[in-house]
Amino acid sequence: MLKNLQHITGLLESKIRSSQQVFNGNNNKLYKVLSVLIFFLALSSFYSYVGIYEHISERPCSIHSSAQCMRASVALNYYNIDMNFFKPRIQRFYNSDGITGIEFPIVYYAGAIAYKIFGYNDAYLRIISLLIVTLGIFAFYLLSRQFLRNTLLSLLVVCSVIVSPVLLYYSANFLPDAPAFAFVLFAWYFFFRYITSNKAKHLNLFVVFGTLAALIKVISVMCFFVVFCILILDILKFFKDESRGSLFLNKKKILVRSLLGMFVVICWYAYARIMASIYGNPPTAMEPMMVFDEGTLRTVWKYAQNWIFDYYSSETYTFLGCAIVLTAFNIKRVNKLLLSITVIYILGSVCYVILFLYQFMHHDYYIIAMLPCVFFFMLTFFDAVNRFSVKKSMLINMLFIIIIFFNVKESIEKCRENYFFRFDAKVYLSGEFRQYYDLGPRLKALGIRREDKFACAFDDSYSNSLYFINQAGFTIENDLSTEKISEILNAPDVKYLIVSDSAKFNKVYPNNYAKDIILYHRGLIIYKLPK
Amino acid sequence: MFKKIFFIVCLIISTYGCGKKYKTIFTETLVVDNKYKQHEDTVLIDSIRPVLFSRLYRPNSFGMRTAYQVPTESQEKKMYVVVSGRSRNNYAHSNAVIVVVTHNAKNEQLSWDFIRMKYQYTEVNYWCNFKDSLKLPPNFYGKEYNLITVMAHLPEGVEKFDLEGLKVEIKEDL
Repeated sequence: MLKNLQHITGLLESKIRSSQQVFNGNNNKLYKVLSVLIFFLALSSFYSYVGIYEHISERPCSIHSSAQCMRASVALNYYNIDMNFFKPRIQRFYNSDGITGIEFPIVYYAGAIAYKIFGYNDAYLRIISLLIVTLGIFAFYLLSRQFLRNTLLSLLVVCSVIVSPVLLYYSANFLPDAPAFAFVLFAWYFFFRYITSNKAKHLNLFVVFGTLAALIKVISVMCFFVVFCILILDILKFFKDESRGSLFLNKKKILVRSLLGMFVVICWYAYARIMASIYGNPPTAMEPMMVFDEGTLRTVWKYAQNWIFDYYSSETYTFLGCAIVLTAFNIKRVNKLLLSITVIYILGSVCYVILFLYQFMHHDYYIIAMLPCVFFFMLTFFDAVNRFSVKKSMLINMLFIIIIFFNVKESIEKCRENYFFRFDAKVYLSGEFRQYYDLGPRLKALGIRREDKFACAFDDSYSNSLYFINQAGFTIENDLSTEKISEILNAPDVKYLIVSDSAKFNKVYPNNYAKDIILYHRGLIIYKLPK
Repeated sequence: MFKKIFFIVCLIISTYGCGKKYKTIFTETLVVDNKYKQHEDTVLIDSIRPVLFSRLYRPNSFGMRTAYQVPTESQEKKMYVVVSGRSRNNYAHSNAVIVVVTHNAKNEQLSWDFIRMKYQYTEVNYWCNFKDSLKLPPNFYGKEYNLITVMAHLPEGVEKFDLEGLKVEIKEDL
C-alpha cells in the first residue's frame, strides 16, 4: 500500500516537473513574447471582467469625485488656457486666473496633449492612468519572473496582489496615487536590473522613475529611503554570501543619484508652495495630518474600519495572514534582500500612517502608497515556496498554485462587486452632477464666455459643477451662511448663478432673481445676476 | 514580425474588451388611449396636437406601468432597464421619477430604484424626448429577480408630470 502510494507520488512529481518546464523561463525569443502576450491577455480579461472598460468613458463621479474633478480641471485648463507646464490652473479660484501649486502634473499634461490631438474627453485621462498602472504591473511581473523563473507563478503572484478594489478603482481614474504607485514598481524593476547588470542606465532609470513617483505623490519617496537602508545593511555585510562579498559594487553612485532625485522632488514641492502663495490659490500637494487626541483617534478608527475590505478581500487577508505565519517560521530560508525591502517598507508605512492618520478616515486611496509592502511580501513568500518546492517536492508547488488559484478567483469576484458599487453615486453619497454634463454647450450658445465667472448653488464638492460646465467661479455649499453667499454673488467677476434647488436658495438668500432667468436645464435654473 | 502580431492581438483584445455585450429580452411601448384610466393618472389631450397623454399631478400617484416576469435562465444575469419617450413638466426641479421595482419568487421586494425625470427636461412646459437607463445590481448579492416592474411615479411636490408614451426595454449582459 505504502509502496503504491510512493509510486503514485513519484509519478505525479515527474509529471508536474515536466509540466513546470513549460512555464519555466528561458531565453527563447518566442517564449518571451508569448509570456508577455499571456500576461496582457490575462490582465485585459481581468479588467474587462471587473468592469473597468465598461466605465472607462465615465466622467469624474462617485467616491471622491471632488478630488477627481479638481485634478481633471488641471488638464482641462492646460488644454483651454495655456500649455505652460509650470503654471497649472484649477477651476475654482480666488485670484490670478486659477494658477496654483500642485503635485507634478505630468499625467494631466499628457491628458491635455491627448485633448489637443483627439479633442476633449475625460476618458483620455482615465486611459492614460490605466496605461501607466498596467505598465507598472507589467514591470512587477517581469521582476517576479526574474526571481521565480516561472510564468505561471509570476502571473499568480501578480494576480494575488492586484486584486485590491481600491487599487483597481483608482487605476482608471483622475487621482495621482495609482500612477505614482506604478512608477514605484517601474523604479524597483530597474533597481533589480541594476543589481544583476550593474549598468548605469538601469540605475538612472531607477532614479528617474523613483523621482517621478515622488513628484506625483510625495510619499512615494519612501522607495529612496528603502534603498538607503539597503545600502546601510550592505555596508554592514548583511547580504554577504558565498557568491559575492556585497550587494552593490558602487554604493556612492546609488547614494548620489538617489539624493539628486530627492533634491528634484524637494525643489518641485518648494516651487508648488511658492506658486500657491504668490497666486493666492490653495495648493493641492499633500500635507501631514497627525492625530494627537484620543477622541479623534477613536473617530478615525471608527471610519477607517469601513475601508478594510476595500483594501483587500477577506480571502486575501486570510492568505496574507497564513503567508506571514509561514514566513515567520521559515525566516532563514527566504530571500534576504526581498525580505529586507518588505520589512523596511512596512516600517516606512507605519511612519506614513502616523504622519497622515487623519487622512485615512475618509480617504481610501491613501492606502495605495503602502501597497509596495504587500507586493514585496508576496514576492518574498512566493519565492520561498518555489525554492522550497524545487528542493523538496513539486507537489507542494502544485498544491500552492491550486490554493492561490481559488483564492484569486474569490478575490476577483469581490473586486467586481466593489467596483460595481463604487460607480453607484447613491451608495457613496457623492452627489449627482449629471445635469451639468451637457450644460456647457448651451451656455456657450447663449454667448457666455469661458471667462465669465459662475456661482453654483448648491454644490458641496470643491468644484465639480464648475468643472463639468467648464466655467471658472465658485461653488456654494449647502451650509454656507447668507453673508458668504452675498460675498460670492457680489464679487465683481461673478455674472451668473446656477441653482439646483430654488426654494431652498430663496429661503437662505431672499432675492428677486425670478425675472433674470436665462435658462432651464435638467433641474437647474440659470440666472444672469443683476449688476 | 512578433511585434506586429503582438500589436494586432492587443488591439483586437482591447476592442473586444471595450465593447458592451448585451441583448434585449423585453420591449414594451406604453401608449395612452381612451381606455387608459388606471392608477390615479389623468388622460388628457394635447392642446397643440391631437395626442393623448398621461398626467400625474398629485403626490404619491402612479402612472404608466409594465411588469416583466424574468425567465429562470436570465435570473442570474446583470440586467439593465432602458426607458425612453416624451415627457413634459411645469416644475424646473421636478420630483417625478420612473421607478424600477424588483421582486423575487417569494414576492419579496428586492430593490426600489428610480430614474429622475428632472435630468431629462431641457426646458419647462415643453415636450422633451428622453432616454435613460438603470442597472440592476447583479446576482452576486444573492438577488434573483423574478419580476421587474417599471412605472411612472410622482413621489412628492405639486407639479404636472406628463408622459406621452413610455418605451421600456430590459436588456441582459451576454
